[in-house]
Amino acid sequence: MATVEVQNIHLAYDKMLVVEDVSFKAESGDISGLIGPNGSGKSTIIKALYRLITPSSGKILLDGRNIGNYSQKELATMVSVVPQFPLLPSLFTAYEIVLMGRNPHMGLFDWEGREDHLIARRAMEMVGISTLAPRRIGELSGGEIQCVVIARALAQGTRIILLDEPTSNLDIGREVEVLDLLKKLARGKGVTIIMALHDLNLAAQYCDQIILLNKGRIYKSGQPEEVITGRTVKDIYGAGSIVFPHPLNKKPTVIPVAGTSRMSE
Amino acid sequence: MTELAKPGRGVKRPYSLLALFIMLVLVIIVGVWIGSVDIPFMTTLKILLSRLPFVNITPAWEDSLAVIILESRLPRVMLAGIVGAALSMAGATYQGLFHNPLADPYLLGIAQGAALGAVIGFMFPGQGNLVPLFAFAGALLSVAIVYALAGRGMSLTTLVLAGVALGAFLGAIVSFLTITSGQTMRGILFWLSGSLALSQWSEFEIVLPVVLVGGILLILFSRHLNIMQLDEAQAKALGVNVEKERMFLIIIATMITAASVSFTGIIGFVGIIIPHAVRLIWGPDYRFLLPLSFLSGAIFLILADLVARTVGPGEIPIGVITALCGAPFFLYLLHHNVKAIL
Repeated sequence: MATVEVQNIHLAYDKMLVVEDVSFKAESGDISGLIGPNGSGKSTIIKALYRLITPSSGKILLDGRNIGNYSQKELATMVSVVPQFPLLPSLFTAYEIVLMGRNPHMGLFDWEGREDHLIARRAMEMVGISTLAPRRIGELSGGEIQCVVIARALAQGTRIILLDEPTSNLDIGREVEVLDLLKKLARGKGVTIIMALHDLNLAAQYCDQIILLNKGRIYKSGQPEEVITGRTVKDIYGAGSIVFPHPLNKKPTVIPVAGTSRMSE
Repeated sequence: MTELAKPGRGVKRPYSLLALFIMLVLVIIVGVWIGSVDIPFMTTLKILLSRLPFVNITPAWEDSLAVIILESRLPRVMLAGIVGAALSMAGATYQGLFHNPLADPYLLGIAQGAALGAVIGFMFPGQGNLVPLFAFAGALLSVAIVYALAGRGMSLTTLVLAGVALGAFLGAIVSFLTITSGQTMRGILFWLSGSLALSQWSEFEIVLPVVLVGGILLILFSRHLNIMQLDEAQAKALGVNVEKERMFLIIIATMITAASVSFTGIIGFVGIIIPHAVRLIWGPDYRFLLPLSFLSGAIFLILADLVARTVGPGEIPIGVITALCGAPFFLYLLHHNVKAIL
């Protein structure tokens, strides 16, 4: 299966450095979480992992091969993406959008075959949005659209899935459903999953490895209990909170404490 | 597997293609039949059929009627059809590539470039046949300049703005030249408002292959055109080489627009209205949108030209008809699909 190796990358927009000297390795079957405050470089790193931006220095290896050496199509058969704010044309149906996930597996002039349709339907079923199939995108809610894009990534059938805040528009039930599904894909099929997350508790619950970013650099990385501590939360986010082991599974759990931010002084 | 809701669209698209094709043939026949000289319908039909291979009809009509049908009306109808088809497909392509419902085939300054070329063509006395060539060159040149100005790795917005700016600049030159052109002014104004009055077979024979080859290429790329309606990041993540394919498709759409414009002048409205109407009725999938736009555009412009040349005492500019007939129809569609547009 697929490994992702990030080696000392620097990323910049128009010469403004936003990510400095970041290295990590994501293994097959694991979920790796990028966490950190707003503007810490999470999304930028995700963008580099599907070559939307190219590192100004450092290397990204997919299965040991430099990401720059993949053709656009090869890359799309290897990596699928759930962006944070996907723009979708409103007249397409949800099903048509999910079916687009099959594009990298098809010749330019092919039509989707039986199998492609089967895969697209199964992907929608897995995400639990089969009933949305005939609905137009313009009629869907933000959370529903997020699920459509996740189903498209599944239909793409890649060994690496990148997600940027995949649950930002979902209610708590949906949130757990989607993340459970991702966990199952990682464990059951050996998919490599890398996602940017805001929610520290979700990151602690689901990630095997957590990379905590601050101002474009890695502040700390490791297992959730190593990274998410009262100390790091205070250092990075500035707010006071208590961190304790989750009563059921001992994962670190963060509860903010009102009146502990800089604003309250 | 549990029963899934059927992903589908209200109107069956393959049948619609067939129905529109049959309609196109009928509209061509009607377009050839009606005109300033009354010719019986059966005679018209026989004259047309006599030209098909393997059909044996003994001519029982005056030669002058055959000339009117075959050398005057038929080339005009056919040119109207192919130009309507070209503008509709080019408009559909531009709208998809630029994520902009207001995009039309003239978005990147083609119209003003072609107009400037045509005006320069008119300035060579007695050289009316230079006009199409100059218009064609002007159209291609203006798009090339827009592309070069916007630079590599440009955003779509930059490209559109460059097109608008260059268009305004060229338009100003055209106005200046037109006003100071003296005797040729009438010809220029006639050309600028678009007309099929001087259609000949030779023009159709040039436009047809360009539009057919270009149209087939666009249709072949239509699955990628669908994906390019998403944002650039998603299109790339789905394996589409966005920059290259976008440029290629713009070149194709520009070619078929330029070929049409150079013979008929600037016919507005078709390129915006037809693709939107098709989208509202049959959905946004380019694999159907393009061929359906081809047929609908052809039918629409043949009918518009029919009205333009038969209703008034003289000829009405075709742009007037396309807007007069097309706008209410489009507003009706829009009214019944408000939700879909939002």
